[in-house]
Amino acid sequence: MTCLAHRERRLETPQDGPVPVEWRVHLEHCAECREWSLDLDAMLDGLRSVPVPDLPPGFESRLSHRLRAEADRIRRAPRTRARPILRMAQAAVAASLAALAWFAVKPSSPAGTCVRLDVAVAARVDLAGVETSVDLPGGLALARPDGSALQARGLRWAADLAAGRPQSWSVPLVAPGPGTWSVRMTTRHGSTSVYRIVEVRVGAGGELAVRWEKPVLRGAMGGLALGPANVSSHGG
Amino acid sequence: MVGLAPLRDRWLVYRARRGDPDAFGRLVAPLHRRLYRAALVFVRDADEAEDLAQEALLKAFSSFWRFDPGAPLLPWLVAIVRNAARDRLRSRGREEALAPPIDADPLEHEAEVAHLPVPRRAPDGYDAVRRAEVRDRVVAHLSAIPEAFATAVLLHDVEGHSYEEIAEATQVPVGTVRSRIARGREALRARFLDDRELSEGVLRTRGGERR
Repeated sequence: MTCLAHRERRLETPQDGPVPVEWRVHLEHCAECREWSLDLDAMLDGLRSVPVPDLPPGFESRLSHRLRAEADRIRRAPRTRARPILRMAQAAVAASLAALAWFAVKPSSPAGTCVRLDVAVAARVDLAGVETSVDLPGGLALARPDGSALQARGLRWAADLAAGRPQSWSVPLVAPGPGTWSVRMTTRHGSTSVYRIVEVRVGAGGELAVRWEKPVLRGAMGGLALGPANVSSHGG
Repeated sequence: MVGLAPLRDRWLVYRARRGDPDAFGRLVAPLHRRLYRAALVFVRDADEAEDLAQEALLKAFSSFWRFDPGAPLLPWLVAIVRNAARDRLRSRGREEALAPPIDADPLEHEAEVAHLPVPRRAPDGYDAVRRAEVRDRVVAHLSAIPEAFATAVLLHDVEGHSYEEIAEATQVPVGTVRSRIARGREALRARFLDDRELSEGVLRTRGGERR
């Protein structure tokens, strides 16, 4: 083994790891590497003993003030902080809306039937190493035109964004009847979104198209198209 | 190495992830000085280092939901400081005047480092004086080597974090961390050697003038 190879191995040795035996043997015969080793050890000793500097006066108070201001900013604009989460949550809600609408437009739907939805959400967020989840502590509240409501509680939607894989989400809900429906979603950050289904179309091939709006913005927000393979219903 | 004390810190992490600035402040307070030291490595200027450390802590606070509570906190914070420093330098167009960015090809530096000359003077051992000299110059020299190497050396040789912890915080494989530490150490050793040879040369010259 050459001097260069010995040195390379020594340089890769962890701080608290044993020095390679071959290196110690080599040092007994190589004056240049002994000198190199002394310099390296002096440098490593210096690194271990480098002092921690005092903070500039007022550092803590300035930081505390800035942290509180940042917390206020985040509270005032929760969407900015939770945008990736909400984007994914919107996809999940859209999927549940589609399931509800699918069921609502089926004339033969018996009351009490559960809808089970397994939709692969296509949204992908490029945030490596991020693992997140969306809690809906208020669940999905379905407001009927006559004022009555149904709720599905305890929904939790988790996503491993690092993997970037499509996600599945199951929503057991009691079947609604026909009419105009809205869905209220409450995230763990406390923000609430209300969606109203404005149009449902079923294509000749069984595909489903749903358009919804957010009443607070008085405008259509978007839509979703699903094939029949994405939505299934079963008795419950 | 800084770990999170089991109960109190878990509660603080929980509160901080929910946007509680006081909880976050208590969590990071023991690390302020070491984070400030890291900032000094990346920007050199004391005032700018304070601003950089605080900016990084604000970023850490707003993205704290990304932090893995099972991992040590300091490497994660140092990685944010390094990225914030890099953003600053980029925005000023100063990269070319300073150390190469983290994305630079390490092999370029490998060749440079591997062929540094071996000292030809007689060994005289290393003593307290040499260690003190090295310690005094370490921050300056860390500032001068590529930031990817400086980050790895800082976190391992100064802060004592394992290769695995550094790999997780900096989002690179363990083998890359090992390589960066090796190259960073060699670059630092060479710089310290230059320092000493320069000072010895100056002393010799002064001695000759006196004669």
